Amino acid sequence: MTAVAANTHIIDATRAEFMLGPVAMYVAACSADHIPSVTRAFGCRIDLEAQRITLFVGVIRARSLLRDLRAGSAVAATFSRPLTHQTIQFKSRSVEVAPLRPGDRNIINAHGEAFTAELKTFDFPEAFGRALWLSAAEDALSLSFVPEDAFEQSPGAAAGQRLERIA
Amino acid sequence: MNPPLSALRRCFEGAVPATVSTCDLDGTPNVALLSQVHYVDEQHVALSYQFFNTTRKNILVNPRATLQLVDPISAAHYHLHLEYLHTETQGPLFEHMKAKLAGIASHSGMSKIFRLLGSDVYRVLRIEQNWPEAETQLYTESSATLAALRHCLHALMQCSDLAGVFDTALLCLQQKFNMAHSMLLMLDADGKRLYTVASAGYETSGVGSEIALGEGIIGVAARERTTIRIGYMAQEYLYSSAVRQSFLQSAAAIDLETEIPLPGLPESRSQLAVPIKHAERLLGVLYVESPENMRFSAEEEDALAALSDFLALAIQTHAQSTELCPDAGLSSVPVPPVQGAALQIKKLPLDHSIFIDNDYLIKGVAGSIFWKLLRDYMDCGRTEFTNRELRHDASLCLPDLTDNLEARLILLQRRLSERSPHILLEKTGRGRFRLVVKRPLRLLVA
Repeated sequence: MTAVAANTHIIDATRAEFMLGPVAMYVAACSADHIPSVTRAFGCRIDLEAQRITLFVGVIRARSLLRDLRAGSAVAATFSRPLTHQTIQFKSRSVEVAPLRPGDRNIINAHGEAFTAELKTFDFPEAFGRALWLSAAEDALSLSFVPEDAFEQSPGAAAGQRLERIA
Repeated sequence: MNPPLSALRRCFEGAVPATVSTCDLDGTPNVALLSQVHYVDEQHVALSYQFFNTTRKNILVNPRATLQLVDPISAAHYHLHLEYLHTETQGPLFEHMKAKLAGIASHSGMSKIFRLLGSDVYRVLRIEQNWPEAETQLYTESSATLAALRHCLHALMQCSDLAGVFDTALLCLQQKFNMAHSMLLMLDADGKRLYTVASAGYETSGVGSEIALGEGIIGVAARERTTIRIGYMAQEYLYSSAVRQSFLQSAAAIDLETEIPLPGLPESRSQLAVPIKHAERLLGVLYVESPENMRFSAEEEDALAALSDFLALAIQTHAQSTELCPDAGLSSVPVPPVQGAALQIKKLPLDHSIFIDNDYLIKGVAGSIFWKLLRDYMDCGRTEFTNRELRHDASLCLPDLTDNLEARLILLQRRLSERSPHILLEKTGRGRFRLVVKRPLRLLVA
């Protein structure tokens, strides 16, 4: 991963708006012997000033991923909007795993509502969208990181290109 | 207990994109969405390789990948732990995935962007149900599909001739599988084209229409000897498109004149083509289609594959049985009188195409057979014929003794019944038939 240049940032208001929208979120890590892990995330918080992304994952669903992150794995997180295929991936070498904060459950629920509505445009029944949610009964944790790199992942010629940092 | 891979086949339909995570040798992970995950067999899956992206770079240095699949009905999540083996850029697997991707691309507005560069084949090391933790009720329609298949095979067993086999197969698809639009095509003598011998659910039967190997879903399934199933409309695989291409590529005006329109749906959204093979020899293709998206399931694909195997056996059996019973009894149906104005029957020697009063009837081997029957009728008044004598008639230059003469006679008989009320072929017993001519004939070689 590239060194972070001072006084530049990756997440601007436009990207933040996209990431806070009805997007699918996936997080990956890997073990010391290079076996990857993956999980779905359920909403995020963005601190634009600190350039920090915080994603929410289910403890049981993300068991392998949490094990890898706690062992020091780097992280990759992809945000993809089903309707437009717009997709961005962020990467960071260090991640903080923490309990949810007050208000995080509201973010998870709001994301679930928005994502379910998005899926309905593809004729998925509401029950399917709701079955995807992280329910209140599930233990959840937050994964927080400052991205060092961002990549365009929307299908097409530009897929895989590193996104320019913004001065 | 972890589920078998075949129990997850609903997850492979592409309704919910799968996610693949990989990592490089520095331990930098990557997570990407996939257009297509293809069930190869119980131990292998293939992932679509469309761009030289990070996933590809990673698997070339570290073959381990973890795939997340989502059941599109229950929303259950599964993790497949994979090891990359190799990439296929041609052949049955590649062509199947290419056709399927064309449908997915078209459905998602990505026709100009999605292009299959290869099929990455992975070994499945372990399957784990990630969520919910308890085993979910895996979707099974097997019992209904199996019952439908059983009915079909039983009905096919009762058929006394090949024409009955063809019609019964399509009727069963309609009644037992609720598959309203179907076709049966046989491989032509030259091994380069398929011709339609039976169809159901179309405005016109299209019997006699042809499609080249490699054209459309049917042509690709035949060329690659593999089943192809797609769940979304793919313009480049539509029958109408294949026909248009065939017209464009054809320099000979005669091809335009003798083209019988293929009976495909104009907006086919789901297509399933299954090769009919006897051992490794291609006999034909069974094809079903639907205007609905995602109409055909993996289980139905299995059922039609089994049905096609049975059809292959039935085709062989009926072809042989007609040869074994050359002396079956004659029919006592009275022959109608010959009267009225003469019909002009014209033959073009180039491709043995036959025209009745300038209307195209048939060409190729079936055209040659028809001309031989007409010559015998004109020269010595013969009306009774046997399959056996045709098979051994050197003047017909039948391409191969194993060529399906019976299927060609069915084709000729059906074309005559659709196009010419004055000349008929009537079956008079096993391996025997009669030429019925109701008007005087005038034969002409152009």
